[in-house]
Amino acid sequence: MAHVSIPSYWISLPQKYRLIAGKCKDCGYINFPPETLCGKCSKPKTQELIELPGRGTIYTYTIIGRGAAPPEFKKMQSKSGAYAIAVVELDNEQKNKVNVQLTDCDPYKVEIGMPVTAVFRIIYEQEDVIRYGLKFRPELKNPK
Amino acid sequence: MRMTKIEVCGYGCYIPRFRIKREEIQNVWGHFEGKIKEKAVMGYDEDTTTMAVEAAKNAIANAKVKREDISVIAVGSSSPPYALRSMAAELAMAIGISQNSRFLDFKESEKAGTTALLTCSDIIANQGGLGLVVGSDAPISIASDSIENAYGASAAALIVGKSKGLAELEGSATASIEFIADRFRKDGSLLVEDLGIPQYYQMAYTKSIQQAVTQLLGNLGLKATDFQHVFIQGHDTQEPTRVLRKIGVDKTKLNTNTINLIGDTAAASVLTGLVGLLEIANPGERILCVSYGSGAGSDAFSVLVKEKQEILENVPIMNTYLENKNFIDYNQYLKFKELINLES
Repeated sequence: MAHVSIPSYWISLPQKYRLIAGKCKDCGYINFPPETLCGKCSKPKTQELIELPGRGTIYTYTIIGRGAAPPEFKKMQSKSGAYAIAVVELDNEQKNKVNVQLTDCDPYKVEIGMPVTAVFRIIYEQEDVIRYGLKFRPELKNPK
Repeated sequence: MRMTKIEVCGYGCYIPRFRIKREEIQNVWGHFEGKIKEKAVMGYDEDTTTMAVEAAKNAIANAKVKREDISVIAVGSSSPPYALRSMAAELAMAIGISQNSRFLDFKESEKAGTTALLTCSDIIANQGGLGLVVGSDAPISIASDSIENAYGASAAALIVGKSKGLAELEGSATASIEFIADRFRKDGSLLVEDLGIPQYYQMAYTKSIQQAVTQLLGNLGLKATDFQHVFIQGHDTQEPTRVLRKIGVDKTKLNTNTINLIGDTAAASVLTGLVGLLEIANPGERILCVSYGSGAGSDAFSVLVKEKQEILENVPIMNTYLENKNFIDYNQYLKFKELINLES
């Protein structure tokens, strides 16, 4: 089982819950998740924390069928059946990419370029602790 | 008690996408107790915390307030994911709210949502700032039990403050009448039990609500006819109609739309109903809201609408959620609600 300890999970909560990224004050590059060194100019400790938008489009995706999911997702998949995971290109200027699970959609109807929105969901449960995080679902807009 | 002026500065809701029709449940059990058309069911990756987060995010976006100005978070739920762990604290982390805020969790009964609202309002009236109030609930009972039939899922959130509101919370009254609860969930159990004594339930329901409403009207110097919209918490759409004569409310004023389409969402019921009404009520109109919790009594409060909330394209309103639905069959329902064993 891919084990992520509670302290390591906790450390990464800002990026998991709110897409907190590190913007380099020197070169302007946005690192997601925030890093010690900037991914572009390699300068240390230059990043200020910013929140990326919870909206984007599907850059690419694949479908995880029964039995193909990592063991910590077993219970979840017994309820969901096949589900899709995707690389989502966020709606910011740099178009940061995030790896996420998709939810609230038929995995066989996902399309590249489809607009999606972040939602707070259960990712999996381990040691009786519910691990929450963001997934993406098809955009839900109010009719005009 | 007449409270210091407290206003609703913004509101939002969340309804899961899955629905089950009453006929689908009726076909399996041969009966469906409770007058509702269909109800909402949480998806495989949802719980009352995730629903609360979505409703809270919507309310904050609609109210256009800064998260750092929120100083109190009050959450009400009769089916929290943990017996020992704060939903309000989890919510604060998910949304990014100051760690100096006060986190309040109410889990005492099906009226925990209005307990949260009234308690949070009192604190804000006293210390100022903004309060985030959330009701989120999805009760379950034994699959064969008739009360399971109408249990749905929803969450709703309000931002309350002392000024710049869209609606005014004019006053509230509480009737904490002692009745031995006929609906309860024992420590360690996930399932709500019902003693199945309808006459006793009806008596407790009617007496509590009647006392709370009578006191509220007396405090405010209002008559039941001064309200254009009324929401009364109930297990189905029929239950609230049985107390109307006692409190002098005309049937045409009662709104049971959310109960009919989402089901009984216990501690989220009144806040969900209120959000639905705030979306349709016109400025100058009054809304009467009444909760009921088994063995806990009833809260009644009056909301005077000042202006309509602006609809933002990317923040779904109640109707958008109600129309975004995917019907499931009973097998899937059993899996989603974990009414069958999923692990050995």
